Amino acid sequence: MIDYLEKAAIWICRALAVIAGTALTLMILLACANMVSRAFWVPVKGTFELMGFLGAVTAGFSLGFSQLHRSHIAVGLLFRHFPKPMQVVLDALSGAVSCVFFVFCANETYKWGMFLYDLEEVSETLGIHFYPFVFAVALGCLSMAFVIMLDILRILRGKEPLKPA
Amino acid sequence: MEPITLGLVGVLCLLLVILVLRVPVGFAMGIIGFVGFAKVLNLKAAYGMLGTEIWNVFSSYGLTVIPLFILMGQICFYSGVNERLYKSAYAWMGHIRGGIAMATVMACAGFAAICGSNTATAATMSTVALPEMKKFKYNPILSTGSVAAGATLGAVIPPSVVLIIIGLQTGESISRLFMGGVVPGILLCALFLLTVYMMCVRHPDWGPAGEEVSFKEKLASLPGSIEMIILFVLVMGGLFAGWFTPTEAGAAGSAFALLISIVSREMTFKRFFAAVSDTLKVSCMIMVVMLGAVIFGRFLAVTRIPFEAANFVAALPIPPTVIILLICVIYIIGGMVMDALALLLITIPIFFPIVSAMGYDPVWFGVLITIVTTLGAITPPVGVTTFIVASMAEDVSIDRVFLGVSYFMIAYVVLVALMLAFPATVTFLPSLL
Repeated sequence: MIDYLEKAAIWICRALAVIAGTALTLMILLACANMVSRAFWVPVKGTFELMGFLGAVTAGFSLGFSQLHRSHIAVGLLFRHFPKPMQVVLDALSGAVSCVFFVFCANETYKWGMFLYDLEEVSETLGIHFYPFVFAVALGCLSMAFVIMLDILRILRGKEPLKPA
Repeated sequence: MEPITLGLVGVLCLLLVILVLRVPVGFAMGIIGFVGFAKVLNLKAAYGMLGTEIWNVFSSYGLTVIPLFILMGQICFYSGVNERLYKSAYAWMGHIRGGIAMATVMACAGFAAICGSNTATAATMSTVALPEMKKFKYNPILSTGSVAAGATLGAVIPPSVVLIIIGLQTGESISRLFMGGVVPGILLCALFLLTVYMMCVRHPDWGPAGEEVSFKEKLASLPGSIEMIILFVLVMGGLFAGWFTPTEAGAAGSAFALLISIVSREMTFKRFFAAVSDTLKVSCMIMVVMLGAVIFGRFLAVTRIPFEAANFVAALPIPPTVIILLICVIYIIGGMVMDALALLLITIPIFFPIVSAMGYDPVWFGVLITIVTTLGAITPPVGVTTFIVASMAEDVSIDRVFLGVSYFMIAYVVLVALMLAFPATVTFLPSLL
């Protein structure tokens, strides 16, 4: 069961990272198109808000992927001096707190998205509904919590944290 | 408990959690900021703050500058720009005593002008320069020291990720911060070159001269550095002239770097995917730290610590220069045990109001703390750049690398002294904007 969940986590994080990478590439294209268009004619309408939305997808959808690759800065200067069993307990404990925090993040962002949906809030320039981008960030937070949860399970079983092959 | 006391407890808890529990810095700041905010106000307010701040940070137009500049550096990294820069610098300087180490510093400075990452510079320059210096029997103290110290130029010479973060967190113009970093970056590079020269005068056998290269070959090596110069001029020139915003500069730089690497047949799909993948990992790490810093900053704001600290320090009967020196000492010590980025994000909300209250130029202070914290990348026990070079050098112990970089620390001290004595070294260029 756990092996199946781990494979699913890796697959989900990679799929989200592909979307994040595509959003990043679109950001470059959009910013360049706006610069050229502004120089010769008029700016591309809504560039400012679209860049923000694409940035949200880029950052949100790479959350799980970055956790999978241990990209987050950790110091732990005193941690390495503790005995191994204590390190396992502390790692599991801090992982559990981090996991709960990202579940909260996902839930609160989702609630914010639902609030915007209920209000039928639209963006200022293009007038588009942007709650789907808020849900995307919530999904990203959830993928992060999912990877951290699987890491805790591995730590408790005496294994190294989850890593893609 | 009084809000201020609660704030101080929060700061102590943060340090404890980061140093003892090995919780990633961004997570720790977010968690403690959230809990502290709930304690000072209430849980409902904390939940509300969490939902809106996550969206505000992730969808911020200002923050989109981060992945774009990182991607520009990664594209250059994967298309081998730094190798070509090194060959070019080697052709012109390699034949003099200590010349290969000087060429390494110059190549690091050149790569720093298009990439804001110390670690990427350290990893590549180690691969390119260390075997060459070994071939010419350079002393490992000089060879590894020059690579590790040279790599730190990435955080000082614009476009620098650290300067972008300072700009975003303080609201100071990123263009002005970039301009402020130009002269100190050049000065630091010159001081590193002087350090190599002095080391070779003191120990002539540490850096024997390399092979003589004909003038024709020297000229032939120049195209390797021209692309870097064009990219730097495009990005910095565009910002200086007001043609585009920092975000657009990052996008234009990425697009141009991609175009150059495709035209020069250095970029493949595989390398492009690797560049994007690395960009996502690094920029996501920064975004999470930024999010944590924003949440922690909101907590500090409701405790009123930054304002009370600013008022308290401004009223102290000691000269402002002494306070600045004390802040520098705190950053040096902090930089020894923490990542520069994390340290800046934790401390800026506290120190920035203090320095502003004393009337110092924010750009000057931003560049000063960038340089001081960057020093932490080569000091023990958490000198990230030093560790990378030591791991790439294989047969050189970490102690020898730390010994090597200790010579270059003098350059940092001289630069900080110059900046304190002559603030115009930083403030002159931004004043032209």
